[in-house]
Amino acid sequence: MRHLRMLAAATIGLAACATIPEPGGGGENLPSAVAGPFRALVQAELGNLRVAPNALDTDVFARDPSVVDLDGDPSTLAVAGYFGAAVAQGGAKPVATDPTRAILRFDALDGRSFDRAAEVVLEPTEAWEGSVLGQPSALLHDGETWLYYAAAGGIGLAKSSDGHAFTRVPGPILGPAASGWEASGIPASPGVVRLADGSFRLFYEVTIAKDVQAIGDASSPDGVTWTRLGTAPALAPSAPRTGVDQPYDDASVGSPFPVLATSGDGRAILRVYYGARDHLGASVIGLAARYLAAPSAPLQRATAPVFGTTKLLSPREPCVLVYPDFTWLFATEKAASNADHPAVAAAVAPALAALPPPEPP
Amino acid sequence: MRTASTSLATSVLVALAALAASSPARANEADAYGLGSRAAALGGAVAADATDFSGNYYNPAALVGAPGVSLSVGYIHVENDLRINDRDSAVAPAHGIVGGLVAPGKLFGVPFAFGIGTYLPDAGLSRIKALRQETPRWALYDERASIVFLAANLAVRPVPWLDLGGGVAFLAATKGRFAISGTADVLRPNDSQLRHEVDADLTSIRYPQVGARIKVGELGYLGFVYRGETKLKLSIDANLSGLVNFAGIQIPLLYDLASRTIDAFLPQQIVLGASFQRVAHLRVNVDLTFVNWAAYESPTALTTAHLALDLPPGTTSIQLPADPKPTVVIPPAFQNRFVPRVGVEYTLPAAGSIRRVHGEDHRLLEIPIRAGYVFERSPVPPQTGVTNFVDADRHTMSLGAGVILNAPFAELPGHLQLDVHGQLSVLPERITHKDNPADFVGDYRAGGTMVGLGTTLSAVF
Repeated sequence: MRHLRMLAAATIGLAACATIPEPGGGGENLPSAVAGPFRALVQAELGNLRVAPNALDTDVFARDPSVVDLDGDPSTLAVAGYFGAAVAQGGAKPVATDPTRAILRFDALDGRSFDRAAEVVLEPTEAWEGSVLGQPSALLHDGETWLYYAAAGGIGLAKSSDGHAFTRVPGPILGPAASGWEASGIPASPGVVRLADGSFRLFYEVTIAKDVQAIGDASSPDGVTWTRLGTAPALAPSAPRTGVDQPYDDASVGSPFPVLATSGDGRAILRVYYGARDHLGASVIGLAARYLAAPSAPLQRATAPVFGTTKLLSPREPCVLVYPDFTWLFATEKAASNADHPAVAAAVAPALAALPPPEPP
Repeated sequence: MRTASTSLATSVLVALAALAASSPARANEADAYGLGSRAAALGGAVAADATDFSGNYYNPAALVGAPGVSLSVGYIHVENDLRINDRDSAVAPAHGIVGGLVAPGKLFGVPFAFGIGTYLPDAGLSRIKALRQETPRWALYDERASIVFLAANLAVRPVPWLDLGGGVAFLAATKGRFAISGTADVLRPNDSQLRHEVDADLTSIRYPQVGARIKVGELGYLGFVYRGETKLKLSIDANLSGLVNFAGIQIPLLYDLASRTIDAFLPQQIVLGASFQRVAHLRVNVDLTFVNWAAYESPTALTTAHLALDLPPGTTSIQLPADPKPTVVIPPAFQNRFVPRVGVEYTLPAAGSIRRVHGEDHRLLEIPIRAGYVFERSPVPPQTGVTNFVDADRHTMSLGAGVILNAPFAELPGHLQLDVHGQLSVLPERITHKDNPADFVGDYRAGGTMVGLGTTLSAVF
């Protein structure tokens, strides 16, 4: 029995040594649709003397980003960004409340730290454009850059072979509808995507009541001639709900940005990011999507906003760029809590994404 | 014998008390990977045939069938290669010491036995994670084996054909409070004066297990087992209160956080087992277990937080974040399941002279060879919504062997037994398709393998 007791004591002793847990597992390589939520970039992730999270903050209040991968190669991050800006009028410096009157191009070697120097690529010259031009949506197609934009009379298109010098397609490609749910509303804030079948899909914003916007969509075989789809908005403000699960977009939805994605099991998805506002006036970036295998299915909302909940900076006009392991989000929002002028914030998903160093540092 | 058992039981109770005081236990490793090499090699199909320390988990009643006082100690190591979308989820391996004892005797002429069985993870006694319900996790294998199993049982044989047993296994509920108070100087952090208090309480939770074993003539035994449901409640309260000194301006701050979660859920189980022992040296065991996974409670952490900052008048540049929305817990809706287990053991009388051990003739050297199979259908429903409890069906194949030395020396009139086992679990890939294309996790494929090795050394007196 003495041996038994010794063995028992040794066993208990071994157990007593085992009191410090090693790190838990099971939390690595977890699946993510890389669709959000996004976290704002921190200072170490932005170069070119940009102040995080703002990838662009200029004295012409450049905003409403549309960013394209210059070479389509996900291993290189260089991008071109097109932005609406409130350029000087008659020598007077613009103010933050001025509307955008030109589209500027800024490049970024690292995909987010935009150059200090801008290039004006488009200004209003046509009568239907009035004096307002902005909200660009750039699309790389057959070696050309197609630049959709909003102007006073609707949505226009300009094309360029080098991304710098643009030539307009005559007239608005989408003007006010003669009838229907958006009758006489001027379409704005275009977002265009090319589907796998070669057709084009345009999402746009229409004001349907005072301070209330909804999102419509249209289809085109060539990107120039468009046909509106459906008899109702593609996405309208959510119906109000009470309780703890109140919607984040029951007041307004607008500034759509469509992007194609593939699920973890290979299903093609059309995602539409959008600016959302609730009945309390809080603005965030939302996400809705549909599987392309069900093209007539309604867009389904994500369960939570993808950006803008931690700081009340009223983000809108999202632009998303998808890479294999992470996704960029650019959005117009207040430059800071104590600044009212607009800037372009940059964010990334998933939150734990490790980004390459900024360039230039 | 009675004196020896009583003395040993006293020692064991002292050890048990010491263990229970320092590390209250939870029963999970035995459920996932088996307790002891013999039982693991037989696929856990030992509800009617667990007369060693493994009876402390598989059937307490069988303990009374132990031929003599036995002490066992061993080790198990299980590597998990569980993958989602072909990428390793790095589910931690399970490894630890297994052991226990059985002390049979007679009380007022009635055969009885006392036993304890334990699994002690050698990477720490307890680890708990509280995750959002959207966060993918291997619901049944992540963390389940990083906790202690400890059970103590008594068994009696009121009539020669009936064994009855029961006991308790132990868990610990955790309640904790964490408080910080004082003054924080934003511009000169080293001048901050903060006090903190931590008050943690591990409250013992016990759950019952009872069993019966019926001798069916020369055919063998039938076994019945009931294991109770148990779960760990984790409760944490944090409180931060004090003054923030910002450039001479003292700003009172109060932050409260409360988190409640349930972890390490173990469903109640009912086991029906049979052990066919009619053929000499051969045992064929079959178990069928009903597992009440439908009672599974969501481990989602219910967290409330509130930040209050008494800003000086005129301060407009600081916007306090809103309190997080309360979590709306989605019922996990796990499904009950039946788990079939099959085990076969053939003991080869290998070599050596015949000797009388435990009232039977045995050769000096015997070599048992074992095989087992288990099928565990996943209780987790298709995760088409917000939750992401990752799981897949599990096929487990096991092989084992041992070396038994009967009465090897005068001080050991029983036998010395060394068992080893290997275990391969295959989880065929399961595809999850999300209903909502805007889901932040999206579709995924999950599957993988587990490989376990273990050994147990037993001395039976």
